[in-house]
Amino acid sequence: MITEVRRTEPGEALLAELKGLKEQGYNVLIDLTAIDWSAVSRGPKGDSSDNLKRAVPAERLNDVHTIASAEGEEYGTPKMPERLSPEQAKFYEPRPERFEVVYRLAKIDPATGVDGGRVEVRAYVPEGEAVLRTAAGLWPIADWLEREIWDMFGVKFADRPDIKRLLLYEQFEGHPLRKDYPITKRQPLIGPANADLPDRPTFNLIKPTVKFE
Amino acid sequence: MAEEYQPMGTLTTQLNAALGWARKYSMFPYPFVTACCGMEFMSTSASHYDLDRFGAAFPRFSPRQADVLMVVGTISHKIAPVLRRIYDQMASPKWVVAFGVCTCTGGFYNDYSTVQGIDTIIPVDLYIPGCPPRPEMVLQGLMLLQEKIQKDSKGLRR
Repeated sequence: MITEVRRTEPGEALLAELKGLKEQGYNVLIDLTAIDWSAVSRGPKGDSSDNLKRAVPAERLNDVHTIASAEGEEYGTPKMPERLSPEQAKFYEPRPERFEVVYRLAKIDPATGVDGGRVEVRAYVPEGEAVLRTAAGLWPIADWLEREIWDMFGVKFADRPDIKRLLLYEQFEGHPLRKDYPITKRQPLIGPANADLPDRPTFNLIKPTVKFE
Repeated sequence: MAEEYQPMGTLTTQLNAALGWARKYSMFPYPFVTACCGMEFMSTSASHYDLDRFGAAFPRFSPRQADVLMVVGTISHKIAPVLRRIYDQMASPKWVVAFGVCTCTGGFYNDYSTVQGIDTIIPVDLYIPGCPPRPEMVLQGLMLLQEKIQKDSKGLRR
């Protein structure tokens, strides 16, 4: 269970925060992922103020939080504080950046496997700018996780200019977990471009069901 | 055939029919297993449902030695060229079985990464839908494939 959520600025500040946590004994990077907030910030009318977070007036944030706590309690999740402290409320402040990266760290004793506590570090990242620094020097697994969030979200890293996709193939255009990636978009099949068709006369009668956009 | 050329105790047939009979009872499947349908394929292969009854018990893990390509499980865009190469490496005559709905149409993976039916890459002889298909469906499918192999051999397909 995440016991603490920290929010910081991307770049050097984030890297320093992560380094500090590594020195405190957080030896496992459990997860590194990103969130695309653009779907909630761009509502049906294209109104950028239509963010779920941003649409809630500051004075009502506590009500929203109370409702969320009550629902959480119903489903057996740990009870959250009923009122937000000013520090907690700061997390809900409207931000213009599109992406948010989330690092989840754990303190696992390598000898016994005992979980010594977990922490989450979040930072907002603007679109198109390479502000993040790689954490692969701290936790080697960050290499692949960074490749994955580049692959899926197109979040860049300043010190990894030639980052490669992890899950998808090089010919894939775009980043599919971005909220503006069309859900019906299909990309052409890859493979040898001038390969002969398979040796079956009926093959060409079968029409591909893939629709290219 | 004239009576005088027939030794006693022989059976006459056509070469094609004999070839088809031999082929349909000695299928050598190549299991191209990528996803959860593989569990059902294992269940079909194992002793309870016993693929051996149909002469298809011995999976060959080299495409050069196989004649039935069983595509079992979701095929993504990334693995599609590999599947095509495996198919091209198989010696003729060869047959392809699309095992499970993902290989037939993409199934519910109607998304950016999944091939919407392997018949967009390679020709398919037998579609077994289901998510996953029951072993009974697979066995029925295999019997249909045997019929097809018998009929295909009429024209001495190569």
